[in-house]
Amino acid sequence: MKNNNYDDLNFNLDFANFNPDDIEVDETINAVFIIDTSSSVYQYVNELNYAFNDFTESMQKSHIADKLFVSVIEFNNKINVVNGFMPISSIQNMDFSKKLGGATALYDAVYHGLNNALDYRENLENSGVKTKTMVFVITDGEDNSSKNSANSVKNIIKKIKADELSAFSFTTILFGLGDEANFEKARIDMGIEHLAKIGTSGAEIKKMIGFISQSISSVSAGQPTFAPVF
Amino acid sequence: MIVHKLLKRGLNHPNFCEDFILDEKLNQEYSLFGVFDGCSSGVDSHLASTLIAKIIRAEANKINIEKLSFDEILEKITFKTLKSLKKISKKFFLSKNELLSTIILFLYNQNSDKGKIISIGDGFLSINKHEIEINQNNQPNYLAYNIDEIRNKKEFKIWYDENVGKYDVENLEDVTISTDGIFSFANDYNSENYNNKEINIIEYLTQDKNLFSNKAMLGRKYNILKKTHFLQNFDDLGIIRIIKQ
Repeated sequence: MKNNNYDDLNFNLDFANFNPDDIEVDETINAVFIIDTSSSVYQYVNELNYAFNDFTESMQKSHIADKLFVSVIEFNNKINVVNGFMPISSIQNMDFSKKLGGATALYDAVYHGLNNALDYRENLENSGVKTKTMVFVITDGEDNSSKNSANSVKNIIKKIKADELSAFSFTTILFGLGDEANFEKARIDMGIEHLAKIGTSGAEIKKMIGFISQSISSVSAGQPTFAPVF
Repeated sequence: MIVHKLLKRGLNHPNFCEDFILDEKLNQEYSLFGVFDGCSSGVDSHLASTLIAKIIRAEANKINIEKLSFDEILEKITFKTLKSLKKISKKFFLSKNELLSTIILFLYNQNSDKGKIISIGDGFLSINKHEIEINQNNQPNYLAYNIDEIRNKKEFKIWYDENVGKYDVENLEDVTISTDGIFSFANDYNSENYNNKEINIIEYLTQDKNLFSNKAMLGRKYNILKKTHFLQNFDDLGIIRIIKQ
């Protein structure tokens, strides 16, 4: 197992999102990845790195690359903003093994990820950029160290869904890896729309990332996102 | 020179956008821009506007434009388009009602900084902030009406001189050609916040320079009209705006 090295963690949650004035499309897909890096993740972190970097590379070549913006947040007992919303073209290879360790502040991570997604979405829409937002939460455990409650997350999602204009352009999916946790309860408690429970093998993680790629492409084409079935 | 383009379906047209736009560089000097508005009471008018734009693009690229004047080039393009339409209508059993579209073309020479706009049917022009509404009371003399009537070049010349609007452009600063969908913006949401005096839509889309160096300028302005001013176009809309850098 990797040791805890928090030297390069960003505790100030400085998202530093891409400047809306510099966006040269009138519609974006904003994908948020909220990724568990607690100690148990060491078992499959190499597969996760490989699948995520493969996703980045393929989306950079995709016809929707111009409109795809990605934000990555890692969490264990601390939240680390790897990057705020940036064009997929500028996303570098990730190595989630660097910061492995600690507990699982799942609610905190989702809470901050959602808030940033909403703030940025509002900024973009006020400057004439229509936005579709997709939040992907990837975890292998239940929350055990958050300051925010599941209910605070639920309230944010409830508010989004109550707004007619954003209800169909905001999607949340929880990927529960392994069989250690009660992911269904976490999903319900946070009000996340979809849950997919998958294993931690390379093939299954690849399948999960493949589903994410497909969902992003579908949403870009104006189609709805369906619950993932593996 | 920055070319901004916008093509949007109107709320009154649930299935297809019947407008179309054309942006074609003919050579190092000349560019040809076009906006096309398929007739709403025609048949499959999304095909008409798109087909005519594609024919014009093909014919314009076939013509040897060296040493020809703007008038000669545009007249030649229109004549050859009429001939092609005639052939295509026969080949694919298309009736006149399936070929009805307005045409506005802007031929611009960036070396001489001059250009010419022609219009067949209605629409809107803004030439260096000078606004021109081309209004034919929704009864345009569509090019396709004449595919049988015009039998030779002489007859075409008479029709062209009488029916085609012509506008000169010199010292291009900011020129817009648009279909008449630009006049169709209205409040869609019946919002209490709506106040149509808040914004001059024509000026905002065709003269205001906010975001002018951004490739998505028109799309973003369109979204702002919808989100902030609760305004949407009820007729289809095709705009090309060319701004000197």
